[in-house]
Amino acid sequence: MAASNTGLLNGLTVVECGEGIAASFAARMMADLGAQVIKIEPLQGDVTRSRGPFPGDRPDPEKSGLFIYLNAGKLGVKIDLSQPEGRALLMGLLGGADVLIHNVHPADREAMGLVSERIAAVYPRLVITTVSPFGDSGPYGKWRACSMNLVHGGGWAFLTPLGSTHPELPPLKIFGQQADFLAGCFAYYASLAAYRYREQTGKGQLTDVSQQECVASILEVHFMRYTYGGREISRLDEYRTGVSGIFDCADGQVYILAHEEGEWARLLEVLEHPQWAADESFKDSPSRARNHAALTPLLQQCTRRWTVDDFFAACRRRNVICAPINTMQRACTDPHLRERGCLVPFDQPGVGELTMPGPPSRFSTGGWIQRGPAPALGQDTEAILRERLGIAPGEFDALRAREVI
Amino acid sequence: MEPGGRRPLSGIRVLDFSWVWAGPFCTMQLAHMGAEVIRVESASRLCTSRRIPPFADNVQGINRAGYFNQNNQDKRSITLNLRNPQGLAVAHDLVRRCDIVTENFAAGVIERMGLGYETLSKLRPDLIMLSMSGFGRSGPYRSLPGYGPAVSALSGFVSATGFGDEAPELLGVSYADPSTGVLAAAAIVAALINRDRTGAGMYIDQSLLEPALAMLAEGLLEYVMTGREPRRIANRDPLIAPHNCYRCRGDVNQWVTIAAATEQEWRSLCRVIGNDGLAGDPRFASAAMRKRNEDALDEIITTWTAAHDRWDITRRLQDAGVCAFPSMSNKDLAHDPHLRHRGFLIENEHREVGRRIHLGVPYTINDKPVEVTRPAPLLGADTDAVLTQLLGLTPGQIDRLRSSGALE
Repeated sequence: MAASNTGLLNGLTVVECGEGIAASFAARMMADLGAQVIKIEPLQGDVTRSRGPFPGDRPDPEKSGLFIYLNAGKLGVKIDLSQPEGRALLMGLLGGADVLIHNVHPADREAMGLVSERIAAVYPRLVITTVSPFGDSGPYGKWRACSMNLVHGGGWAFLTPLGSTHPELPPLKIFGQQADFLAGCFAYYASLAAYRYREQTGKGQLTDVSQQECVASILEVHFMRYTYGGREISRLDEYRTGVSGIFDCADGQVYILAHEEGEWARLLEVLEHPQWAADESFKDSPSRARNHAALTPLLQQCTRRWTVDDFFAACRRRNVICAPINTMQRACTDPHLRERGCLVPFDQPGVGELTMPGPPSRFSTGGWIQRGPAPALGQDTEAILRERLGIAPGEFDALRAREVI
Repeated sequence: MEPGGRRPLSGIRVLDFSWVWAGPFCTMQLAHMGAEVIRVESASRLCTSRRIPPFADNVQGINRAGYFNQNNQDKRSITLNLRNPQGLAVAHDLVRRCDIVTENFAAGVIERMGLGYETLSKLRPDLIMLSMSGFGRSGPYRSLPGYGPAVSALSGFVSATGFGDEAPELLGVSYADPSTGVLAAAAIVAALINRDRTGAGMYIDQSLLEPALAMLAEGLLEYVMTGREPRRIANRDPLIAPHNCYRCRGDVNQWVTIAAATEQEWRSLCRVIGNDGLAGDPRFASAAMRKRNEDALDEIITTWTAAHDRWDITRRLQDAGVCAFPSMSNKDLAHDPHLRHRGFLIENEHREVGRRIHLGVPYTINDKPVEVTRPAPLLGADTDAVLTQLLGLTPGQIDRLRSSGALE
């Protein structure tokens, strides 16, 4: 999608603190819609600067792929919020902000000047969105957790991989730090809704997102399989309403789904009606689900005769639900992703040309902007403090000497 | 937000033609923030989520499905036969009184039904309409059926998930659906903010694919920056060790997750395990050494966890400042005292399934749980009320529509 010059959130100023993914991801999406985001990092830099991936696997805090992705288009300020002077600078910056977003743990907020109620008492119009592992109240409110703990703690990993025949293997976390990204989605949504409310009523609002609850919100049918169906479900159980799963091709794998009778009929067309398909034990969707252990190898014999690309193309022609199990390499060269522009070129100084995911939503009025690169650590500190707080150039040396900035 | 009073999206009305998961999950987010969401259903084209198990007490019924009742809380339901000209006319009249229209039919279907953006934006010029699809409204796959698991596979998510050198694993749930649902809700609010400023509506092309890519960025960038595929490392972390899910005392479903990122957390973990040799073991002397020797480290930790209860382990490690938490089942969540305390477990009285636990809103506003004001609607429960309140129809007019088949 072509970048647009006028963002939907032009004029919105966001101050972001904390480290890691959740708040950064939420604020990045606001930056993409035209908000000005001031990212406050600790003096040693955000933890994602040390996580990579790095070009050529050479760690460099200015070249972390995760940091660059999460912070593209933001202004970069570094302030030590553990010092009173640093906290005073933060309070000053909040005076000109519409939204404060952070994922500082509830137990650490006092020490960093981030107690929401106190900030709201000074700035009642400010929208404050916080992300916590378990929310900021309740018996686990003070507990610590990383994304893995929460993907398990919200009940997702317990179900994964569903239909496992390996009780010795643990419940599985899916790729990456999804309790962080998912909470970032909710924090982004809640921040925009609260901002709109503020624009209508003049009142700010405190929203605290619980990462555990975000994960528990996405369990598909499986939470209700207990509260409706009375069954505790683990990865060792199954949930089949027809044919679905991963099948081998000659040169890779594909995912196939055929729940409804029409979907099954179209799949059989692609497979050129193998004889076994007439078997009574595969006559309808429930039978196919029940007899999947017999059916899967038969299907696999068919799919193995195809290449992934040919099979996927044949499925597309007949509207069969199928997709290649793409590697990153295959995804990055997929014709659809290319033609639609799902991945966009991105230039980061010192790193060069990158490709990264583009807009998650596309607006007919434009409105999505890919603004500049991710900030070098502290690159805008002096400019922002001078412009927004009127700090004189002569004061910066002293602030630096006291390691406030 | 004032309790029971004005909410962020109060006064906003959504006509929701979407079905299954991603769309209804999106509009439930809007409903939780105070929007009035009217789901347009049809008895002849029942939502998949009303048709598949689990059903309350395992008794099948269109109002008894957990999938529907979870993802449609806080909404109203009307039934309309959109193939009936009068049914379509009612839909058009409703659009005039709505701010937002959402749909996730296969590409081209909504236009053929006479409910495309071109048509509807003439009825309501400042309309915000969001279409959701697997792959978006442009590109070679734009007409493909948009199922979340296929999107997860195509995006690359599945290939990066799994145990070591074993085959890739599916994601357990159709992750692309709910993540897209939340991002779509945010896109709608961004469009509302724009409408408040400019008076103009817009059309939003929302794929499931692009949110999936957005949340997979770390893996995609690993390939882009190093030419290497991300490794399938299950519960481990590329840098941090220990960082895993460990077997506990009891049956095959008793597991605890533990991560120790800092030196302090590592020393605390050693102290709690009570293995004096561990902290001084040269194999684990630094973060890099622990990562290098994590197989041996995980074995030592498992020896300890396997002898203890998962909650005892969690409490002892949390008391020592170490990240730890059990792997939770659906049953664990439903009985969890913390989630209960936070007001996340919702038990509104539903006319057919009674009181049972649903999941609520994963955030608090001004330190209070966000109230879920009503359970999911019975099929068509609000048809008469909506036609009366929004369109001013009389009981006689509604009867005539009903006998013409427009409200089926």
